[in-house]
Amino acid sequence: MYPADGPPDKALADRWTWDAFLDAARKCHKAGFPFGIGFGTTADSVDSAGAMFAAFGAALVDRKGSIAVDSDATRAVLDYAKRLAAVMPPDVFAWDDASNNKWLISGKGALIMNPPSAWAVAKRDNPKVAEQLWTFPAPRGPKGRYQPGLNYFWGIWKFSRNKAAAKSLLAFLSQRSSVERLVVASGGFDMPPFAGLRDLGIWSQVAPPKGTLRHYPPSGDQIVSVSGMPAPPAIGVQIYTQAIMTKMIAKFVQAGDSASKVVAWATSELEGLMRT
Amino acid sequence: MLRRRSTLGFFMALPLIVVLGALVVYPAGYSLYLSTLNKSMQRFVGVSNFTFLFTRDTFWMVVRQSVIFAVTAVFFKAVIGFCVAHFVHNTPTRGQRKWRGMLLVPWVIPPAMSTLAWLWLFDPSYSAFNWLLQRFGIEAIPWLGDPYWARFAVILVNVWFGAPFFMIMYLAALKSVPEQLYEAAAIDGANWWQKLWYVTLPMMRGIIAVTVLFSLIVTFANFDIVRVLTAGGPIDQTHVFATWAFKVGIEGNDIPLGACVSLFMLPILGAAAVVILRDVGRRGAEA
Repeated sequence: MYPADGPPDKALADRWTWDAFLDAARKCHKAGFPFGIGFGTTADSVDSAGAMFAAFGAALVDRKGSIAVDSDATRAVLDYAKRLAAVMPPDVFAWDDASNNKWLISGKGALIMNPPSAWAVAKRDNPKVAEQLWTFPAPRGPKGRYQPGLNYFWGIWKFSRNKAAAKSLLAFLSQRSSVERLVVASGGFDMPPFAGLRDLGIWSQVAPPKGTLRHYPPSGDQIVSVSGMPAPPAIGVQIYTQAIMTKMIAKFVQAGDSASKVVAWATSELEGLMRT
Repeated sequence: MLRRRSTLGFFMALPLIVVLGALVVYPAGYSLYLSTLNKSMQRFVGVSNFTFLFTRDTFWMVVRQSVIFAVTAVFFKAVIGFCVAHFVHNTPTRGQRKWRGMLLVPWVIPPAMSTLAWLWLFDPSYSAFNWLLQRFGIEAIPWLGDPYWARFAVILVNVWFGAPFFMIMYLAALKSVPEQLYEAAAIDGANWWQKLWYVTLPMMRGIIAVTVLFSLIVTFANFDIVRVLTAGGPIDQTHVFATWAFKVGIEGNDIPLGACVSLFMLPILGAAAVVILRDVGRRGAEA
């Protein structure tokens, strides 16, 4: 599907859908090494849930700022999450950003949804696990293959006394050579935001195993999105911070609320987030 | 002479008054002001934030949880502290200091640090408790993943942390109960339960009331244990006022609403303080 030394096999990659993911999750659960995707309230969980929601076409708030959570797509993703949660550890609703890494490195889990920081820590703490880790894209849903993304920004203070020098520094740091040095220093973890910079050699070179990060940079049909999109930023950041999506999943799966009740709760929360 | 002493007394207390003013009175007043502003803190909206809060199911869930958390934790802290104080009081004097010291350790360790240790004990992958349970063939418990177990976990840690305070206060109170009262009770044929009910508890009533009140206030406003252990989850079911105020106000960027959440505790705790202290005052006057 995603070979260590070459581009993806399109035919196989097209069959890497969320349904295939669930099928694999069931088999790994039966074998005693379940998948582990957090449904907690920290960034990793919210990122994963956001990719899942986007793949099913479920948006909480649309581009214009109208509440759009009450949809068939939302009900579909909740139902999917319920089937997935049944074959994952019961703790996933309390996972924080370290839990999935610990789960994988302990050797108990078969898959997590995370950048390769878990692999980097495994290299240090449990090399036998690290040697068997491969990073590859998220599955494809009815509306596309969505990859969780979280961009960071550099800025210059308005009150800065040396804006020219600051701009010069930022321009230097944005050059390909500087970006490459930063990515190499992070062991391939850092991901440049621009597609033109995602062909650096580091990802094919780091090991073991060789090629473990070959398919880490988003490419092809992958769409990088931030959880909460396409809501306007002021609302989207609240959706993210308040972990509305993972709480919806937890209410549906763990608390046993009906989809209608979950949607009603989410609508109420979103109305609150829209206060000015 | 008296007037000079009180002036001197005032100036000696002034640094503390300034600190209290700056770190308690001013923030409380500023919170009250913030709670009357809109989300972007640009318009005065009166009590709209409070009326909005009262329509939120999550808010009432936090109220319920805070009451359950505070009342349950204080009850167990008081009972455990009371029992342990009796054990320590009845150990030979030579060994008492050692026991007092050891039993105070949970209260002395900074709670954020000790809660981190508890977090590792409850960890989904590396829980020592689950490791032990599995050794006896018992299935692992999702300590922080299941709402009811998560509530149990935060209450347990709070009780572990706070019981030594009750123990040391009750131990001091026990030592101040005159031995003659127990001798008189023994002469009258009282058994251990009757001594406890008719001598010990009445003599300790004031200190029990004060410690319960103090602990209720502190437990109601607890932040660190819940924040470190569960961050209010899962599904907001371990949130207490302080953690939810932080979530809404700081992380959610709605500072006026966060101020409202934290101010809601004030009338509840104020009412509790008035009722309990009035009873203490009345008993003091009778004595």
